[in-house]
Parts: sequence; structure tokens; C-alpha cells
Amino acid sequence: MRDVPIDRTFPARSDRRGFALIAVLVVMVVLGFIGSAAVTLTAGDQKVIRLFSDANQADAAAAAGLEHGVATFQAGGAFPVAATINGYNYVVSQSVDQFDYNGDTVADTVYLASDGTFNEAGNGEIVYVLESEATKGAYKAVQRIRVARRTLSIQPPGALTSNASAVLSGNITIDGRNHTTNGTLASDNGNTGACNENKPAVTLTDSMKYVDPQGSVNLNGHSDYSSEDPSYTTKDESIVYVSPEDVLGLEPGALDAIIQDADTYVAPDTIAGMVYVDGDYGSGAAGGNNVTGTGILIVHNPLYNPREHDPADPLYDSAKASNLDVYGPANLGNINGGTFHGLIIADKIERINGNIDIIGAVVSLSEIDITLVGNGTATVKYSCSALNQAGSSSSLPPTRLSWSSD
Amino acid sequence: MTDTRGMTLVEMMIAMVIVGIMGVALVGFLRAQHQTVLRQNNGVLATQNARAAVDMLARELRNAGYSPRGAVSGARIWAMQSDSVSWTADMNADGDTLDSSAGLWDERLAYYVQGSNLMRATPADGAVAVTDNVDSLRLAYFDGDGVATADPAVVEQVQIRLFYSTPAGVQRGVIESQVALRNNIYAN
Repeated sequence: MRDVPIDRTFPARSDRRGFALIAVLVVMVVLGFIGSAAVTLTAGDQKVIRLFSDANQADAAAAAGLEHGVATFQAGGAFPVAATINGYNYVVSQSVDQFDYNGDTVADTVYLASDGTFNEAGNGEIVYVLESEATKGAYKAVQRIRVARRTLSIQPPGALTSNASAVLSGNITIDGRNHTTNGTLASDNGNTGACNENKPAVTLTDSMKYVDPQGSVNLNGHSDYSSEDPSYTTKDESIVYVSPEDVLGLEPGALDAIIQDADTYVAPDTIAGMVYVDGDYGSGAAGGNNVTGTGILIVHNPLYNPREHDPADPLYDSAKASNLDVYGPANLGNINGGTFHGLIIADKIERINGNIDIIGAVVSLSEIDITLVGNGTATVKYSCSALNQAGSSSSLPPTRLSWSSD
Repeated sequence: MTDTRGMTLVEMMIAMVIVGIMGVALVGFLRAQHQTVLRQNNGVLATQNARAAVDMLARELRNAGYSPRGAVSGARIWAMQSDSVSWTADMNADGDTLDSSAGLWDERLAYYVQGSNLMRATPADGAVAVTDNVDSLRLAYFDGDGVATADPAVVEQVQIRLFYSTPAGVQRGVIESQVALRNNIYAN
């Protein structure tokens, strides 16, 4: 076997020289530059985004503080209000707004008059400034809002006011004369429509509707309505009630903030102030059969507009009228016990029954005829003082006047 | 050691050619990367500037119509166009809309696009460009029901869209924001 000659034209492995190390180093440096640039750009972008984020989060915390302040103001709570949300602190202060409206060069307390104008003459509600300050990192956000308390002036036009026909049966008493808060007759102070004057027993808002008293129903009211058919009833088409806000003289949606889910609402034994549930109430639904307390009980589906369900109305909406699960009325079921001082507003009243006493007024919004069956000694007595008491016991969302941020 | 040899001329030339090719490729690669970095840088800057400008516009616009003194203040939105907006706000609650506080607030403002700049105009500072590389500013106005409106008295929401591009239009983008005009909401 012949030996194979060793080829010496190419150096042995240990003797080879090349550019590998240099090339690798060069490539690494290049990649390093590229990576460094990318990291610099990304870090810069992240920093900018973080700064925006801090500013926005401080702003959001200030906004949250402002809403906290408005809720505290509505409830009559104490200021300053301070809290921490996810690590962001806010402090809300309250002050009486002051300005010189009468040109005497002295800034005095600002009042909001009922016509929406401002004055320093004490006409209306005091205007307050709520200021919320929140910080996040180097950012400080300040938001302020001017607010004024809202008072109710409840003046329903009868003991019972209905958008639909009312069939009355049993022994129910509906009395439009003015009563005291304990249900005794008050003196008749006239008939100009003022709160403390006698009213009709039933007022219908649609001239095509009717009142049908059956059995031993007892209607009473101001003598001006004694010759009506039936006695002590009237019809007034100038009244347009499609929502609780209409009845209370508030702008649409003014009560949205206090709406409670009827499916989860747990009624107290005694109602105090305003209760607004968005679905059925009484008779196994939210609340019980007894209604006791002082305030305003509202049973209304915010999506329900009775005019949209009345085929004779120009606003009739067949799609909504046929979708009662969503747009249908909330029912006030069979309430048959207790003594309630104030105002009951319901989409549709199933029954006012048993021996329940309602001193104040009742308003039914439904376009569907209502049937009040008073098999016991149920009474509905108009009472201006009870309505005023209910109004003053109901803390309403304040009027929001103006808003600014720094 | 007797086996150690130098490289031949041919080997040297081949090596130089290879190194040359690698060098050219490397320079090309570096230039491309440099251009990419520049483009990215420009894109990031353009985005940041557009975002800052929209944020500034949105923060100032939400004070539009701030009238703590009611009719005495008289603040309101003055002009609503699809590419510009102007308004007043009584920021110091003194009953007029004639003031400014250097670096903090102005009571009369306008935003509009001039050339490729988004301009912010106030009586105190005149018209100042707040960002460049702007293609267009598109504003849409909606009332409380979400319906488009041209009535300054009822507008409650303003949608802001700022379209921008890097120089030579290599990269394009849009920054969007939505502003709730609380003072109009409360007034309505």
C-alpha cells in the first residue's frame, strides 16, 4: 500500500489566518449601534408615552375627585374630601362663590335664581365652587365645577293625575282637597292653582280619556269641580307628563344619577327621600306591598315614553310599542298597606288597595288605562305640606353650572 | 516551522477582492440601517409632536364656553369649521374673556392649519405653530344625541383627528381625540 503524499500547498489548521474575529467584531459593533439606536428611540417614545400617561391619569383622578365632591355636596357631607384611587391622591375643596354683580366693587356671595341668572341679592340658591386637585408624578391636575342645590317645587294638579283612563272600584277614597301632613283637612286657600289650594280628585291629561268610578268609590275635591262628570274630576291637555322629571319640573335626565336597578333593589321598611327604581315595584317585585315613609317614590322605566306607545299619538313608535321587555312601562303592583307621605310617580299603577293611605299625590304616566281597586279603605289625599316635606327630604343631584380645568 | 509558508499573490488578491466586496456590502448595510434609524426617528418625533399638539388642543378646547358669571362672562364657541375652531372661556372668572396668563391659559383661542403647521392663535401671543408635518386637521361636532351639528350653542362633543406625515411623506399617521364640552352640556 502506497503512502499518500501530504499536500503542503495549504497550511495546516493551526497555521491558518483569516478575518473571522475582525469580521465578527465589526458586525457586532454595527449591530450594537443599531440596537443602541433602537433602544434609544424606544426608550424616548416610552418616556413620552409615560409622561402623557401620567398627565392623563392625574387628570382622570381629578375628574374622579370632582364627582366624589359633587356626590358629597348632594348628600350634604363635609369638605374637604380626600381619597386615593390606585395610588393617585385627590383633594376636593368647597368654597362659596363670590362676585360683584351689583357694581359696588365688593364681591359678595353668588346666588342662582330660578331663571338661571346669577345675583348677589340672595335670590335663589347659593353657588359653590368645588375644586379637585390630583397629582401623579410631576403632574398636578386641577378641575373645578360650580354647583347649586336644587329644590323641588312639586305641584301635581290633583290627588290622582293620569295620562290614561282611570277605572275606580271598591271603597277607595280620592280626595283633591288640601290636607295636612297627618291627613286632616286644611283650609281652602283659593283656587289659583297654588300648592296649598284644593284640587280636583282626578286630573286626566287627555280629553279623550275618562274616569269611571264604580261601587262605593268616594271622590272629593274643590267645589269648582263638583259639577264635572264624574264630580271632582277634570281634564287638562296642557299637562304633558312623560317622565318623572316632567312631573317634578326638572330637565330630562336630571334624575338619571339616582336610578336604582329594580332587580336588585331592596326596599327599606320606611322610605325616606327619593327612591327611583327602573322596573316593577310591589307585589313580589322590588319593594313590598306596604309603602310607608316620607318622600318621592318613582317606578319608571327610563326607556319608556307613554306617547311612543299610544297609536293615536304623533310620536307613536310601533317598534318600541311591540318591544315591551325593553321599552314597556314599569308597574307599581298591588300596594295595600302603610302610610306614605309624599308623591308616587309610576308608569302603570296596578292597584292602590287594602288600607294604604297616601297623603300627597299620585301620578300615573301610562297610556294604558289604570284600574284602582280599593277593596279596603285605601285613600289618596292631596296634601301640599306632605309634598313639600317630601321635596325637602329628597336630595337631588345639584345643578351643574360651569366646569374648567387648569 | 519548516512548513510555514506565506500567501501567494493570487491568494492576496482573492482575499482583497473578498474583503472589498464585504466592505461595500457592509457600507451599504450601514447606510440602509442609518436611513432606517433616521426614518424611525422622524416618525417617532412626528408622532410625538402630533400627539402633544392634539393633547394640547383637547385640553384647551374642553374649557370652551366656561362662563362662571353666566351671560356676564359670555364665553362660547365662536366658529366651528371642519379644519378650524375658535372659542372663548372666562378662565379667571372675572366676567370677561379678555385675559391671559403667560404659559397657563388664554381666554380667546383658535386652532387651525396653515401650510403644514397646526397653529394656535391668541391675542397675547399671536399665531404660533404648535406642530409641523401636518397634512390636515379634521374636526367633527356632535350634539347631545350624537348627531352632527353646526350650531355652536348645542355642540357637546368634538372629535379631533390630526393627520401627519414625516418629511417626504415616508410615514403617515393620525392622532385622534374626543372632547366633551361640559359647559355646553351643562347649559343644555
